[in-house]
Amino acid sequence: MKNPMRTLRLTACALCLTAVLYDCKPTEVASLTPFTYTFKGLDDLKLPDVKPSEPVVVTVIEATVTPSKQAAAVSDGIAAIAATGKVPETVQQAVSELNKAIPEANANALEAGFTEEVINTLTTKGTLPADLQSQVDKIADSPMMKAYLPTFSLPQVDGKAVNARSGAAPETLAVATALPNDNDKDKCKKAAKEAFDKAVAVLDATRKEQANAIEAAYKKYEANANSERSGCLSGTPAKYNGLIATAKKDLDKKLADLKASKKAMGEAMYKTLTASAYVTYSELIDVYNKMMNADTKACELASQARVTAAKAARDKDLGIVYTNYNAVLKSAEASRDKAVASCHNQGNGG
Amino acid sequence: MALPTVTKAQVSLNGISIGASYWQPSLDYWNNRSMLTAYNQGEGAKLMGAMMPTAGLEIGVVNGLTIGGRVGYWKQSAASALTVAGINRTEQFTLSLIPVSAELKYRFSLPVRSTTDGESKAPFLTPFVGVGLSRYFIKNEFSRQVVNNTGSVDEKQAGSANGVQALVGVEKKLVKKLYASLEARYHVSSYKQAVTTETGNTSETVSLNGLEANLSLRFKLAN
Repeated sequence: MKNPMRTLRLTACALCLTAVLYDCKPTEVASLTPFTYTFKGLDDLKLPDVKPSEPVVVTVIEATVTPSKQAAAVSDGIAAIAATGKVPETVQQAVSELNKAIPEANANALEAGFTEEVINTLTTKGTLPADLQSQVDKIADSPMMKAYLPTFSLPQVDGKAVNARSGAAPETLAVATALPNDNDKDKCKKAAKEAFDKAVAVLDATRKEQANAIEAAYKKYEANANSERSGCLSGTPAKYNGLIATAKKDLDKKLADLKASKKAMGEAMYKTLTASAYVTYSELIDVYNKMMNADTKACELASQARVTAAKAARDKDLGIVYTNYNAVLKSAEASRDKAVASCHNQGNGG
Repeated sequence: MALPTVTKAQVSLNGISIGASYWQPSLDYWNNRSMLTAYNQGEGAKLMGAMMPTAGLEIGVVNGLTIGGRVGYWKQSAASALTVAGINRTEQFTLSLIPVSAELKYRFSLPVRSTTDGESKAPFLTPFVGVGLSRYFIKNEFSRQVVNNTGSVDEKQAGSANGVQALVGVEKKLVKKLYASLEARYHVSSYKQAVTTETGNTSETVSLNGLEANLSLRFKLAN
């Protein structure tokens, strides 16, 4: 009897000891899941997506200079005289018309005045001595001379001649509404305020992201406009210098053809045609220089118009972003105020 | 004439006991600082004392001294409906405690009584004292049902703690091998409860200190 009881005693001792010693280290009890306040109207606030819009395209039409077809026909006629020994009808007809515009005295003066030096100065600088200029101007104004002179059209930017003014007023940007402070220590009100602040932080981040994208697009368009301006400004002189060089070559050829045909056409015809060549050349150089200046100005105005269009697109887009932001912010404020009002007099809650 | 003293040379061997206690642990965190304070529309809810069934085992060591173990099961709940910011929810929290102790108990040897007809009788009541080392197994059961919104949970957490107990009581023999005892026991212990709020995490100390009153029946297995 004693042995089984002794065994049982020892077993009980061992069990007791094991129960006490098993995993002696205390363990912390994990937390209950706290109640998280959720407020309708504050949980999933989003701003409408606004992508940067393309600015209005600026149309640019370059200046054009159209040499006279009649003058070209006369030049061709003169070129043929040396070979044929005869003065073509076109040339004779032209001379009879030009004689009405260019008196003999003027023809002599122009022939004497347009020295190689004067022609070079005219070619490179676009200027004539004052007395020659006044004679050229008077002859060019003659109705009989008009048909032999070049015509031109001014460059246009957005359908307006270059001398016209351009530019648009920027849109007014909306401003975010300031928020009132709320220092209430009530848990519910504090949670509502924190939910509101969190929602506003998300809206602010989205607004800034959209604004940055719009600003970046504007900077890109502005850079493109500046790049086009640089290209335009460097290309315009090159273009007109080329045209002037061609005109000079044509003048040299015409003068050479006239000299070669002098005997066939006679002194009077020679002088008239030489004077008209100088007047035509002077007017052409003058037109080229004017058009070059106009095209250069058009480069600037086109660039300004492109930047202005980019600014207008940017300001319009930013206005939309800010309008959206203000509307959603107002809605969030209303939701917050409603949540705070419902916190009151309804028990403290967990 | 000195009455012979019935000594406890023959100690109680292999006794098992079952009983019922009323124990009120402090639970200061739950009752004074936890979410229970917001229950019942702000009046608060408390985890008060509750009945606890117990079971024990004793083994005799030397005269009057026994070593043994005891286990109990204590459980209490609090529940409430809550409305905040227009959101309705119901929460129920249940705390279960299982104290397991290894105890040393000493029963005092009292002189035998002498009856009028000269017979010897055992003492009317036998007092005892004891100390114990205890381990407490803690379990939370928490459910939250939120109406028409997210946030419903049904979860459990568990932990443990160590402590000591001091006990004092009296025992009376009812019939052969069956004794009844009335005991007062004081628990000294606390455990760590993690608390997560909207603002951060903390660790609260929950006191289990408190008085327990126990009534039990002991069946003596050995002579």
